[in-house]
Amino acid sequence: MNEHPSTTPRGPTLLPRWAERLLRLVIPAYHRDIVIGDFAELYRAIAASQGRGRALWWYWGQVLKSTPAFVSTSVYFGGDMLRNYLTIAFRNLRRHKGYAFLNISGLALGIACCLLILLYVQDERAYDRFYEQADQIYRVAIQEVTPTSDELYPMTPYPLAATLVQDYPEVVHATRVGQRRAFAVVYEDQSFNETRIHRADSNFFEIFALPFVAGDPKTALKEPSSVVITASIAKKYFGEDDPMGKVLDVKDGITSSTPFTVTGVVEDLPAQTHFHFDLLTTFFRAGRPRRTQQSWFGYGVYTYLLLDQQQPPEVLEAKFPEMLQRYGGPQFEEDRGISLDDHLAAGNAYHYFMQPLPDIHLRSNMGWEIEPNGNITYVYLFTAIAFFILLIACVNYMNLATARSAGRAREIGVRKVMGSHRRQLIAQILIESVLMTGLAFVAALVLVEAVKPAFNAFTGKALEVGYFSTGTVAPALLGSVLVIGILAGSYPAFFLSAFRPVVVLKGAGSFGPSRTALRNGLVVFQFVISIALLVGTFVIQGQMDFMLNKKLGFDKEHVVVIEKAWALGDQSNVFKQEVLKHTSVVSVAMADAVPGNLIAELFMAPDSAARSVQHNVLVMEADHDYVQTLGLEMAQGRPFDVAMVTDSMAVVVNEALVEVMGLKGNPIGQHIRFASDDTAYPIIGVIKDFHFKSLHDQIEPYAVFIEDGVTDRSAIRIRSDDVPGTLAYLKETWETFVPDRPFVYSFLEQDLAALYRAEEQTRTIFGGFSLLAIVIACLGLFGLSAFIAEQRTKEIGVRKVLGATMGGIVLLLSKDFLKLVGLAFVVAAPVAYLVMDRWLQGFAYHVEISWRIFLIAGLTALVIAMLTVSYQSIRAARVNPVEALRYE
Amino acid sequence: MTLITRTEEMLLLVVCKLQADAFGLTIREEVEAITGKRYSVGGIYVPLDRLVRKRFLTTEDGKPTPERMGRPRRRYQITAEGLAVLREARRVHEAMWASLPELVVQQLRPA
Repeated sequence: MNEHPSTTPRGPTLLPRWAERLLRLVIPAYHRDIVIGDFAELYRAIAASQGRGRALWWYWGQVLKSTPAFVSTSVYFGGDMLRNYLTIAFRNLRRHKGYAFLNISGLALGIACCLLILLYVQDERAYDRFYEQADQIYRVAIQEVTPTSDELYPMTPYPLAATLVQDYPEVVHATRVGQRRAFAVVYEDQSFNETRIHRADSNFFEIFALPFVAGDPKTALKEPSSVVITASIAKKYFGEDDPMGKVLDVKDGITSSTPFTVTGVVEDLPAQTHFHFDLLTTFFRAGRPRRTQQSWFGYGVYTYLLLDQQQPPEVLEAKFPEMLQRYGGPQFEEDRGISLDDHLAAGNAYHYFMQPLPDIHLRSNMGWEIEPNGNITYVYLFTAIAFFILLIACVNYMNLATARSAGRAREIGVRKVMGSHRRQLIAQILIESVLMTGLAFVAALVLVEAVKPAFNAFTGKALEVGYFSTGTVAPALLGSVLVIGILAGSYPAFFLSAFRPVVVLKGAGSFGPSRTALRNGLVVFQFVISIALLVGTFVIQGQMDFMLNKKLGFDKEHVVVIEKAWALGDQSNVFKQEVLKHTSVVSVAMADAVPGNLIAELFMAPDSAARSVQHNVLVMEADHDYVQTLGLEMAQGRPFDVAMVTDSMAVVVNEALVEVMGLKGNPIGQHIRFASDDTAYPIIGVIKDFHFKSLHDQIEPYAVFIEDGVTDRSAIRIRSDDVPGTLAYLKETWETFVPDRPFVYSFLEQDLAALYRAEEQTRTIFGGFSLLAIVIACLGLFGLSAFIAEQRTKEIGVRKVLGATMGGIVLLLSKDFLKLVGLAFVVAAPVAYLVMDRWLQGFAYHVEISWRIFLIAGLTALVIAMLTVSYQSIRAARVNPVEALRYE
Repeated sequence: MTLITRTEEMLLLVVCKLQADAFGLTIREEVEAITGKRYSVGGIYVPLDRLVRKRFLTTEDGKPTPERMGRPRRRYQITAEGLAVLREARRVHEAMWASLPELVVQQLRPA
């Protein structure tokens, strides 16, 4: 009973002034005084007996708890008023249909765009979070530094996983994941080309707790030659039959295949994971020797850890250098003849680090990722842009609402004279804007549903607005209606309700210069964003054109690449001769890789250099037709020659290698070797630098060795006269050689373009956004110019009577707006320049931002703004002055 | 016949019981003491005001006092209509209870 009023107050126990004022604000008039009295009385009692701190706590608690009561009372007793507000709001909407349309459509566009982007962002951020222990799962990655290079690898040495579990108790589980080389998967008479077939250690499902439809996650991968498949793969191969125990033949060699027994079926993996598999096999195959690679310096598997909850990951990370020293040190010394310590002291580093599982999708962008990942920068960027678009839409609302104040001034004045409180006027205007926002939201949701299929196709996602799937979406939407409505309505509400009735009813305008300044500021703000986005779009477009058209140092057109050519085995030469028989085939090369493919980067050094010297070099093998087929140009020396038997021990390099290794004099005839090997290879030719990787990267040292036998791919240069016919011939020839292996091909040019898919997407999104921003800004401008013209009707009439020309009047009305666009340009240009310049720094090869881009962006904005404004200006200028002046 | 809810019945009875002391705060305390149900300071007025609107209660604002920062108290009084619905509620109650078979009455006896 501590709430009894105390008769002997001690100390200052009065309810503070601000607290009282707050209550006055939130409690409905009906019993405002009574409730404030209650609050004061109880506060005083509590403050007297328990002190002010306690009393304040109590005060806030009670305010919060009473809020629903305040709301329900004000609706209950203010019901008539509320109905009146709504009626008036609807009447206003109906009376000014054009204005309402402009406002609602602008808001709807902004909201729809914002919703779509939020959906996208939410989806991107949800990656891998569905795994139960997601926050305890990490992937180990390695940063490998040499004095001349710095590379990141998501892959790790084979022995890492076992070592971690054995030596470090905080690692609960560690599992290895790797790709399984597979050409086709065969069941009875069906054969499919499967690309998402991986292998993993038996404890995979201890870490990744995927729901099993059949089988036991603990034992599914225990027996060698077992495979766990997804539900849709089960359906694809076995239809309605029980898949458990069935045997799938995996063609994993040139002629060989391995049977895998189905021991488990998992539900299809959700789209939101960085690692999807269709078939997950055991690491080892039955009846084959378990070749476990022991090297600590070759990276072939992904290592995932489940960490003890008690341990922060940094503690484990700090132990990695010691681990590498202990296990890798002896190996390194044996292989390379120098101690690992000396090697590290020479400026080399192997820095092991851990990536939290949910971060991998957005924050990891290395070569050799399992699947292409997203990019956190773009997520931030898009969120920011979505926010800006919404802001533009809100600004529009404020602008139009204040501009219309001319028309409403009289209404406000009359209301005030009739005894309306300012509070009521504010409520009236806020309710109008919330109503508009509500309508805009409905329109936006319709819009979202309408463009969703296209948006999904574009992003490759399956986004859905889960209106009722979680309890938060519907309330969040309603909440946003309120927040945006109040935000957009707040300025007009306070602005309009401040009118002094005597002034407005007398007919004098209340449009002081400060009002105009604010409105102009808002217009400038809108155009700053629009112009900045336009510049962004043009720059990205320019960079895209540059990347797609830049001379790459080889001829990318009309080259067909056949994948998995190793299936041909020792027949590859016969196949090559057979293909060459077709008149449209210019030349054929067998090669491990073509530009754009990922290839191994190995350490090499000049033969004369010390053991600690090593340079990162892109290394691949190809036959002697490679240089000719790709159209590479020789700078010095010659390409591989069939006639020269000694070429099998020679190497062809690029100019970058000569430069990075610092080979003095004529490079031809100088020897280079692998860092861990003594065999030296003479350089017989130097290729002019060409872009093996995408234009994000510098041209790196590159070396190609001869391989006349089995290679991963085949590159075929064809003539453009009969492409379908030539392709059909290739397919036919392929099938006579390897009938049970699917013919998988692509065009080099398209593969290269695919390297820039992220940029392509960004360009489209930027383009869409800038269009949207301009459309919304112009909607606002259109409305604004209409009101200004209306306001100046009399002035125009007088001017016309006095002999002003139509052109003069149009100019008069337009030039103010055009000045604003000009000002916006001045603000936007440097900002856009800085941002886009930073973006371009992400490319090793990029365009310079030319002044022409700014000119075009500025002119575009200006012309669009002019067209928008001139419609209203011309209309105003054409009015017969008699009409305008009769008004008086 | 007007049937009232349990909350309404409870509040009307409390107002009757407190007689001249039936203010928002005292009603709130009394309700808590008897039922354990806790209204917030502002919340107690929601059902009370509804009863006023239904004409089962009337109000009378007292004199402002300094300890209430110059605010009056609002005293609630039951009206004739309020008494009538209470009477009706009681009749319905008793009729329903009286109509129960002996066996059920046994089961419902307080433990």
